[in-house]
Amino acid sequence: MPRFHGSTNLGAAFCVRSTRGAAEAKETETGDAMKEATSDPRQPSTAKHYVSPTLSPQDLPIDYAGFLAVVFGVVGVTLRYKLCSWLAIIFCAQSLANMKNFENDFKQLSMAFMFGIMGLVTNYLGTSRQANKQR
Amino acid sequence: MKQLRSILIASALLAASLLFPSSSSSLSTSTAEEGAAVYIVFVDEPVGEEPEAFHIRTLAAVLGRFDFVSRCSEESARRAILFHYTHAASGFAAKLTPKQSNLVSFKLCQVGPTASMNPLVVLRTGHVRFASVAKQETRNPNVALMPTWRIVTSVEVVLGFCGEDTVFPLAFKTAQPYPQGKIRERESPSAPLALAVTPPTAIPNKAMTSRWPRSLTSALAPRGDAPRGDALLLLLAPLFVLSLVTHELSRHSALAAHFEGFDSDDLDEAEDLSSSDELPLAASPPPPPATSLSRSASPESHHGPPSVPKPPPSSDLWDEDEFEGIPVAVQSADPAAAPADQTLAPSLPLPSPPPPSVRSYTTEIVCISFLICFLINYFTGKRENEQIALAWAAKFAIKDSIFDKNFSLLGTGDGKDTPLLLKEGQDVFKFYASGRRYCQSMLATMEMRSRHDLISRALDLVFRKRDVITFEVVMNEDAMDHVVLALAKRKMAKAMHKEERDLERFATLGVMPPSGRKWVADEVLVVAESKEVAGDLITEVALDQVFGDKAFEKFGKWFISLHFSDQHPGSHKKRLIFKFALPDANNMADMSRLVALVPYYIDLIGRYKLSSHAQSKTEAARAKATKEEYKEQQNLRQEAMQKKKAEKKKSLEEAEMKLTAQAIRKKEEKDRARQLKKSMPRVKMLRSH
Repeated sequence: MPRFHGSTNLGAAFCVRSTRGAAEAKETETGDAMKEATSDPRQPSTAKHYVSPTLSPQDLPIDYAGFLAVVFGVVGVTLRYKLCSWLAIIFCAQSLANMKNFENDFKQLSMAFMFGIMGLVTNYLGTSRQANKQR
Repeated sequence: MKQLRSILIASALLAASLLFPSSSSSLSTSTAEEGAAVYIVFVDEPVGEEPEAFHIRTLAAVLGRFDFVSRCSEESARRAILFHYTHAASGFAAKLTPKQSNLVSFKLCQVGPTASMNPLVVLRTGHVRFASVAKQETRNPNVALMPTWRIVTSVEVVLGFCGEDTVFPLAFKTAQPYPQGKIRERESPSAPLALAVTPPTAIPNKAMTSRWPRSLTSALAPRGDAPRGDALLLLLAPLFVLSLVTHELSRHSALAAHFEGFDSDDLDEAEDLSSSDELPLAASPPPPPATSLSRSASPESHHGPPSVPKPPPSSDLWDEDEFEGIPVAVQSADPAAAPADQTLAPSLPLPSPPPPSVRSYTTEIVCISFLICFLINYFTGKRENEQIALAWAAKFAIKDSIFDKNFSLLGTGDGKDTPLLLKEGQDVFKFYASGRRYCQSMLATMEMRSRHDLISRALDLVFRKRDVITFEVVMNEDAMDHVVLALAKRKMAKAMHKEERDLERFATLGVMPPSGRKWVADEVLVVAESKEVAGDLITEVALDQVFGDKAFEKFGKWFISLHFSDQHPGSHKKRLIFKFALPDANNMADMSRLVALVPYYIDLIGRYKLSSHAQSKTEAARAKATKEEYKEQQNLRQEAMQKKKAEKKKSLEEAEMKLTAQAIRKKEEKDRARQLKKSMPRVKMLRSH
């Protein structure tokens, strides 16, 4: 019983090896799958960790929303158009939503936001005061 | 808001109290006793009874207790009542002595809880004795009048008004927790009560009369008042002037000192509220100088009513505690009776405030709703993008998937449990893999549409954009031969050939196969350095799987471009770049064949060696290119040098120009001297011994 068992074991191992070789040969011949069947392509020794590329501030895409927010904010404050101030706030929101580098963009954005808020404050509180004087 | 409404009512009543008693003062003189003042008492509207009769009965019930001399209390009540308010509110104006007034309020309060008679407000125009004012002469010009009004029982509102340079002291007192629900229920949301609380000017009567908005007066004007309007106005003017200048300062400033005013910012808040609620409330009077600005520690609200004003000293019967704990039945002016189309004194020069219409707030409504939509879209769009990226990662980057089988390191972190994807902003996701033969690393960058940004999303509707994934494989320096190959749809290929420097320099557009071989689909153009490279790299397998006619029909819509080059600009020259479009999250399997191209080509190019003939050709081309590059660089360097020189020269010249004329002259003199010295014959002198 043990002898028999041993022999079959050997046979089975051989069998497995032979079929695997055949499969390899077949795959390399036809190459119907684009996977590399020869051996494991992985090489853990050559693995490199990810290094995030350093981007200079000039290379960043232009933040059009932030720019528009500043423009509208300034116009809203100087000409007292409340629509402009509202647009400035909306573009602020857009710029905030698209922000990738918090430290870099936040200065410009906060300036635009201040302009927008200032425009709104002067618009609403200012005009009500004026109207009161007139009355 | 509640406070604001109360202020509105208060001031409306104040206005009424200023207008109507004065008109009636000429009519009734008989009851003018010492210390009598005009009070306005508001009661609930009687059901099934004439309001006039009800008012008289109410007052008579009080006076009957008090007036022992004239037994006919009904008659005295009739005489005491100056005016009946029947339209906007139910109430009456009556001339009462302080004692009587206290009795009235006390009485009313006591009867209050019953359904038949709920006292709303006792408005008191105290210390303004219009009848007697005309005869008094100026004693104190500082204080004019001090009308006050209160909501009896637990809510007390005192509205003071004094002086040319001072203002209304406004005060609230809530002794009991406000019965919120009840009040809200009874308040009419659409009552067009409007008011202008304005600091009095030097001629307050003018200011006052011209400032009461139309709707207010119309709301409170009695119906039979129209013919009396002119006379009323004429009467008002001198009366107000006189009333301003005749009354004793001591009494009123002492009174005023007891009232606790609103802080000015409280009023500002009220103003804000009014503007947001489309009520044309106008001004915030500056805080009264004689009042203390303490606030109550009432826990109800942020700007809860301040503490109780002390009762006026003139009324010795007033007992604070009696009025506490009595349930309030506050009722605002009846909304049905309030509309502005009521009859009003036609000659009153009252400017009508701009009607608060929805249209005037269109911008605000649109902008705020847009902002809200933007915010909602931000979160939903963000989630959509994340879902697509995660679906991609789940399909291709988890365990036993294609990238796991090909790379030993997945994800941007160094540990084992690091997330696979790196998120940059809301629309860029990165997947990094490393540790494979032939290549150093692979970086897949998914650039999604800006779904989180509503404006970009709207623009995307016009300019169609797709989610793009870019695989960038950095090859090992020794693993890639001279290969320049690009593959894209026709238009794109032409653009790439123009824009990409390496393609422009080394490759030709539209390379055809060497000999009658099966080739790529018609839509695709091949840009390659030579026929050999193109033929060897676009293998049968690749054609069969992706680029052939049949396969491309199916997978072409996800394919954008391939670009293999050993001459990429940048630090890593040998790179393979694959660009594909991303399907939506549910159909990620559609691009699995395209993704399989990545490891396939890494191996193919890693093993690929050019034939010696081609090698020499490409080497020559590269040498030429490097030479040209070197030349170009040298040219650039020379140009830069020349520029520098020119700048130096210029700056020197400028410096010279800056020298003063004197300096120039000095220099010239020096030069001349030197030249003279040069031209002179050199003589050597020797001293003879």
